[in-house]
Amino acid sequence: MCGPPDFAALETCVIRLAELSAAGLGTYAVCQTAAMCRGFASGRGKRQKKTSPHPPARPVAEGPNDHLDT
Amino acid sequence: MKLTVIRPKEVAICSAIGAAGALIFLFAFPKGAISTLMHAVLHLPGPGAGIALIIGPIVIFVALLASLLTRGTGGALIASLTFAVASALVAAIFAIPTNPKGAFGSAIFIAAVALAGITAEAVMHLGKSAKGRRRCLLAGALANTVLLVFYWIAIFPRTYKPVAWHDVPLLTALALAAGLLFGYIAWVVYGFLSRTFALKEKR
Repeated sequence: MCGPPDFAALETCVIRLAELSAAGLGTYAVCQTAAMCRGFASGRGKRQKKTSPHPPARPVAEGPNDHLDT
Repeated sequence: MKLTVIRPKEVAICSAIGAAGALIFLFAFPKGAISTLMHAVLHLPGPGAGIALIIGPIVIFVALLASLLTRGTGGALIASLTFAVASALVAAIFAIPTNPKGAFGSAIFIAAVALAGITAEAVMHLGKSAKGRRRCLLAGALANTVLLVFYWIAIFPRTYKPVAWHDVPLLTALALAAGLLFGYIAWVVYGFLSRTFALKEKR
């Protein structure tokens, strides 16, 4: 090894790696939350389309058995 | 092998990845930390353990991630070159002390990192199969070993001492294993980024 061991530098290294890991995990959590929110919002949009104020027209009765009201 | 021209946007992405890698490397590993970890804590032989287990894997991760995120040829080389130049510039501008053994910031350091990038690039583009997980593992292992051998031949004899022959098998095995691991990590991170940013690139 060149020179004496520098444990202070190693300690700094470990602390900084921990900080970087925390920052990475934080970013990951934010990304996942954003993706979840996007998924939730798109799901709600689909549901709103299904319950739209203009429902599809009722099928036209073709045969004698289709006159249910009589 | 199909070579496609890299677009300016892809060049910017690769450069950003390389620069970010250099900043993280300089921030996370102050002078003396790598040597202490390798030789005083892990009791690994040297020289070359720090290259095989720390610097090489960072270069490989940066190069492979850039290559995976771009369709054009040259992403890994651009990212690794930016890594080397950015680390040299940042260390010089902010007077960050570095271990003279590794020759960080010198022309030969830039050449060594570029050689690793070229190796990764070649493996990622040779043949007809897509850029898959196996290709990443192979590129990582080969590029890390090439970087280590280059350091043994061209850098360590000038800055420190030549490697002892009996240490070569262990250090080479470590370089291969670390290269495989970081090739896989680059593949996993690429998968995560693809899902997050919806990169629908059919390779």
